[in-house]
Amino acid sequence: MLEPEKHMVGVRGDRNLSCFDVCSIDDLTDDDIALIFDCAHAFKKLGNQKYAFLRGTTTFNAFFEDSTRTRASFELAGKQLGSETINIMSKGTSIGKGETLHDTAQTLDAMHANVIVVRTEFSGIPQFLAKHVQAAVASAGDGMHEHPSQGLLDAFTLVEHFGARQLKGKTATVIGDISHSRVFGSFVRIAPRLGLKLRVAAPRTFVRNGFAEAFPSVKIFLNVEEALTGADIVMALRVQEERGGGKCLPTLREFSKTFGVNERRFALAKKDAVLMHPGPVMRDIEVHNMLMTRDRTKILTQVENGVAVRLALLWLLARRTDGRKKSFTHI
Amino acid sequence: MSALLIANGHVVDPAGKVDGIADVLVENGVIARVGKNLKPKSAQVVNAKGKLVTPGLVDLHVHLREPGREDKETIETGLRAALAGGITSVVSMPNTTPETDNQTVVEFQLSKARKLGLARLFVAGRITKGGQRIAEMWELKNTGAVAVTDDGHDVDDACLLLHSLEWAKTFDIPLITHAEIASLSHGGVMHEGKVSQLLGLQGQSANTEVLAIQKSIALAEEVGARLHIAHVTTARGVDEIRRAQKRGVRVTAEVTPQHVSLTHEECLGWNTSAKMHPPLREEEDVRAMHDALRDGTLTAIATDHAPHLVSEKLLPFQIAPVGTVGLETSFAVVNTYLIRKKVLPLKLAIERMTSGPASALGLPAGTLRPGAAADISIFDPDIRWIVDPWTFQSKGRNSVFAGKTLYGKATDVFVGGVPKLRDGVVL
Repeated sequence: MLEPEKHMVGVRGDRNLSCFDVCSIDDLTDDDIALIFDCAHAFKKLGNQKYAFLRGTTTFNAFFEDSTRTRASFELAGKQLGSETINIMSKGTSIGKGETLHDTAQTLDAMHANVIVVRTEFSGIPQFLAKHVQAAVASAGDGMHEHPSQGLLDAFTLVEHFGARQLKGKTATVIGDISHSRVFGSFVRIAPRLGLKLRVAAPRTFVRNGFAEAFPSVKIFLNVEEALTGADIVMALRVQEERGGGKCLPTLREFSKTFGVNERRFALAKKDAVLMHPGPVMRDIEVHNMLMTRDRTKILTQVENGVAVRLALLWLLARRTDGRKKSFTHI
Repeated sequence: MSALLIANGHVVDPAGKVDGIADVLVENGVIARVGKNLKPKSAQVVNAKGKLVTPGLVDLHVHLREPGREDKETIETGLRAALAGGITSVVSMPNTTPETDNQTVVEFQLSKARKLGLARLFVAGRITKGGQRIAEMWELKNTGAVAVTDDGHDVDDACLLLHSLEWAKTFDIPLITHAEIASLSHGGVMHEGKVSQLLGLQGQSANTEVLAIQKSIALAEEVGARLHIAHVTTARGVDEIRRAQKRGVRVTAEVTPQHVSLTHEECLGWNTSAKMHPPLREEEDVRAMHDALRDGTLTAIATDHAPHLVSEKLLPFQIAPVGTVGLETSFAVVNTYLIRKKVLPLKLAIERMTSGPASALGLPAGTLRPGAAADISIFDPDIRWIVDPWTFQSKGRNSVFAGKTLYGKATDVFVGGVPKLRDGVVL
């Protein structure tokens, strides 16, 4: 075993995830999240390395929807771990053509996948696949529901920056299209686990009925300045025009003027506040161009951390050390 | 003369004001008498001791899918399912292929049902031809259609709806609306609320229905037409209907068994069996349905039986077809969730499944009064069973009640005095 591998095995110890699939932040216990972060932290410190951890395994990146960073990130992580990574990328694939999901799932499973990474426009599909395949399923985003690996990397970035203990009690303000955002869907579930106080700044069009009941701890602001005042963390979201977000706005111009994060607004946050964005950023719409290159802007750190988190995720999902087998049902 | 005596059952005939242990005597396919200790000279006797004897149930809202989607359901399987559920009269919805917007399809459906001799079929024709112009309602009625509806969709064009109500009024045809403002529900695949937020699904708000109810009531009031509102689901929607009825508008309304028993929580886990239009709503809406059934704002319980293929319901929630089957669980759901829980008294619940719906559309059904056709259902209200859609007579397996424990089953059904279900078996 090479030195970096030995180091990683030492970091992991005999720990395993409590779950066999990661389709939602809710699948993970606090210990699971700590384990992922410990491994991600170590992977990141070791830099670009090749590992043999997943040699002999197959990872399907089943992306039924456009993706650049998430797909590249999962693919890179899979390759660095030595897994055979296979990308299935087609918009409106068989699912759209009317093939039932269990056929899609069982087809991939019949190819003896170890991990199926799935990105889909349909909410709930990763969960559905997870129930009906032997492979471990990792969601790379489902509809307007969740994007758990993004939630993990966002949280990891914050833990890395502030420290887990110091993070407790800090205020995070999320700005923009929360109603169509699966990134928000995962962040809103992981934020309380980090002890964050969560604010949302959004026009009323993005705050749909039931939001307050579903996420009662979130404080909603229709005024972005109020929401930013005293925030420790600012996260801007992309306006999801392709998911109908455009209907909720008169123009991007007006959104930018009323909710875009510019220097003046960002200055309302705490002096040492960090700025995050899941990408892709529409510069000067959600985030003012000048802010993109600041030290406190973590957008590229998020991307970098994405690989580390996915290295951890794939390793932990594809290589259990406790011999436990996932149970699933054919349909 | 053939005679049949259904003896010693608990007879509930709300229209005939009967609620107690009694015998029902049938002669020549017609109810002869209902009373205590009837002693006909000769009659075949069915012992109904410990059971509930009611007029055959009337279901105003059933998708039989024939012609066009015989893979989902046929008139035969649908009517057999009705019998298994103790339902002897069904009104079929016109969203068939070809559409039931012309006399030919009405005639086809009626003749098919006549030959089958199962439950009675009443046909609803369409309000419009493709949402573009008024269907030939007069001819539909003359062929036997009992109502018109564009169920599945509302008539979005308000001017067309107005003129349709006027045309229907001219020939005294009840018009059934599916209340939904399409531009507001667009893209919404379930009720907009806590659960849609948790599932990451686009919702449709209660206003989708409320505004549509307001619209159709306002137009029907102007015209003086007979309006029946299908599958009401919202608390504010029933308020609108209640207010209109108080002003004297000729509006009746129905609710489904699922909307009086379940909430949007059924959708958790992206459960496509719980996907329906209008969607399952919230607890307070369910309670409002109970109140409206009690005070008579809602006079009918109708299933909106909507069979689909198993494979279609395995599609992602966002694109899976809408609807649940209901013919074979209708009585049991009402019994389990309303009667046994004392939400509705037995007699009132039976009224909402017999004479209530029959009088909404003026159907000759739903009572055991002497002279009425002997459509009779006998239920064992205490049978406890777990819903297994694979045992259904219907081709549809998409039941939102699958796996749930229900009480009550039809054991015997007579249509025109002829046994059609015996000991739970369709004859």
